[in-house]
Amino acid sequence: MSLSPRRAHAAAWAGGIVLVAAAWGVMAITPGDEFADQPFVVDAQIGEHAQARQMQITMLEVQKATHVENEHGWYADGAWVLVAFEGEARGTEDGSSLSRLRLRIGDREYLPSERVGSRAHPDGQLRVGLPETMTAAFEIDPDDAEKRAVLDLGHLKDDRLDSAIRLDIDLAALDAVDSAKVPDRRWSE
Amino acid sequence: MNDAKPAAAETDAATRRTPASWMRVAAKAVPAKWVTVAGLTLFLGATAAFGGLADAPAAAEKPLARLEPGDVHGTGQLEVSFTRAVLIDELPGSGTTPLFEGGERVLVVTGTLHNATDAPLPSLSFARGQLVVDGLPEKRPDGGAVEASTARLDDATLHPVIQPGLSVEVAFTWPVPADLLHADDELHVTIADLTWFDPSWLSDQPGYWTTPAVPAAELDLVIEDVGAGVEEEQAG
Amino acid sequence: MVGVSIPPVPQRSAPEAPAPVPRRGWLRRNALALGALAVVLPIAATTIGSNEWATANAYLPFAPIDVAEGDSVELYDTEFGPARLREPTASEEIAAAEAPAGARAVVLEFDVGAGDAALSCSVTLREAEGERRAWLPTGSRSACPYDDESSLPFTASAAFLLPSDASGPFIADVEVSNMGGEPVPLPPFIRFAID
Repeated sequence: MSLSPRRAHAAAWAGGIVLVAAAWGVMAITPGDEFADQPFVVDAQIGEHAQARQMQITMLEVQKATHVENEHGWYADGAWVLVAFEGEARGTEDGSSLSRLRLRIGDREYLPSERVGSRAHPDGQLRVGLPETMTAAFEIDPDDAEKRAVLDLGHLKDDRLDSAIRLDIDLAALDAVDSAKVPDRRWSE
Repeated sequence: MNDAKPAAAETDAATRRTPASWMRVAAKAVPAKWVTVAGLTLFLGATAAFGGLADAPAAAEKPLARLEPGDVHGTGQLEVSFTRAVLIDELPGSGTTPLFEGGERVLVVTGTLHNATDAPLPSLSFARGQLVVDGLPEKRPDGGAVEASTARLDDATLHPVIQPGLSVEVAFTWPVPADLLHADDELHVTIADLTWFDPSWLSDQPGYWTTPAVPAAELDLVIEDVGAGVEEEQAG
Repeated sequence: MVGVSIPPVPQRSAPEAPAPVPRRGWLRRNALALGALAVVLPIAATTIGSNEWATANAYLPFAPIDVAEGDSVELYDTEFGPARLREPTASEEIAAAEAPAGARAVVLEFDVGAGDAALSCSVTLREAEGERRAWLPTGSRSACPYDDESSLPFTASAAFLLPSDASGPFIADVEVSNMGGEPVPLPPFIRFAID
């Protein structure tokens, strides 16, 4: 069928605009480059095994406290979040160290406090067949103590294309205890 | 012939009628060279108008902000304030061990660091990269470098990491020759800032803190000499 | 009007569809090109593939030099082996926290003979069967000296902490780098069979 020249002109413009709009729409919904680098998230639950690429973590307990102590006489006041977990390497110890252990609250990222001392600080190599129980103690801004937090664990500081074990914590649902203990790292029973 | 005239008349009418067609004729008549020269002149004129042709300014020395003890200065990452400067024979747990045979003592500057960013910051990076104390020697008697060390005042944790949103009272310490500084001397301290550079609207690269740090503030602290030491300094 | 005959306007019929070119004709015409493709494509795939694999393997040890139990092997003009597992001596007590109940500490040992190269070796202890789990030494992973060839000959040792259900037979993988000499493009590693 043939349109009059003016109609054809208008139709061409309309078609062009529709295509540009469609192109914009396609670009808007296309994920960015970093989408291809996303980590493989493993959702952890308290009391259950969470399996990452070469490690197995079992979350044991999450506590909020206003006063913490370690086993060697150190203590501190403040807003603290303690996460006790058991960690074991699976398959091989090569590539099974826990270098990424952080608590994310909103835009902020907290790292386990070094104040608890080197024997209580969760760190380093996980062992095959020999699970260890350790506690990560995070000292947080009291303003963040009633928000939602995510605990993120993994092998490397860079979590692209690797497993990431994540635990959702609703800090508002936890009651702060007056005193909590940060035990030394020890082999699990 | 009959055909030519209406055509000519038509052309005249057409050229007189629209500016567009006049432009077309004019454009054909103007030499190309004139157009390029005119365009270049316009472009340069516009550039000069907003200062693009002026000399690049030499890195201007920004005057340093003068602080008093207790004043808070924001470095972009940390908010810092300093309170005291103290000379002491030794301060165990501070990270600085003076060489007695070399005639060293410990210079302590106390202050508060508040982390204004969203990620933990090591106090040692600030102490060694952004804090300069005038008059300190380069090397110690045994050849080691004279470097700052940090420790928390409350529990003596060495090289503390300041978590986001938190404030920590810190003791900054340096090993100094015993005869270098005396009570009532003025200790000149310079604080340098880091700038956050964010190219995100140009590229996918994440932002980062630029180095080297730029000196931004200074203060003078009057040195106290506490001799062999005050008991409550040795915390934890 | 008699003498002039206007020839009839020729009928404009639909242009004749061109006859379909028979398949055989196209194949035959392009036989030479297709034959060349059949030869070139596999060669290209193999070349590119082996290039990529060589690069990948240069970073990962993949070619074990298998050494039977009790035997030794020569690498970089130096003799390695034999390898064995033994109980730790009192002075070698595992530096980590007290060993957990049910774990046992073992020490891997192998002799390194006289040679003329400074070496560094990185050791891993692996189960030979079953799940083939692997362990790293509790101390430093490097079992050989890396500074001075005059330290040779000596006995390399590395301590491991194993769970009670790891009972062997074991393999000890030793990655050896020759610090002083020519870099080896595909680093081999020695695989000692033990137990």
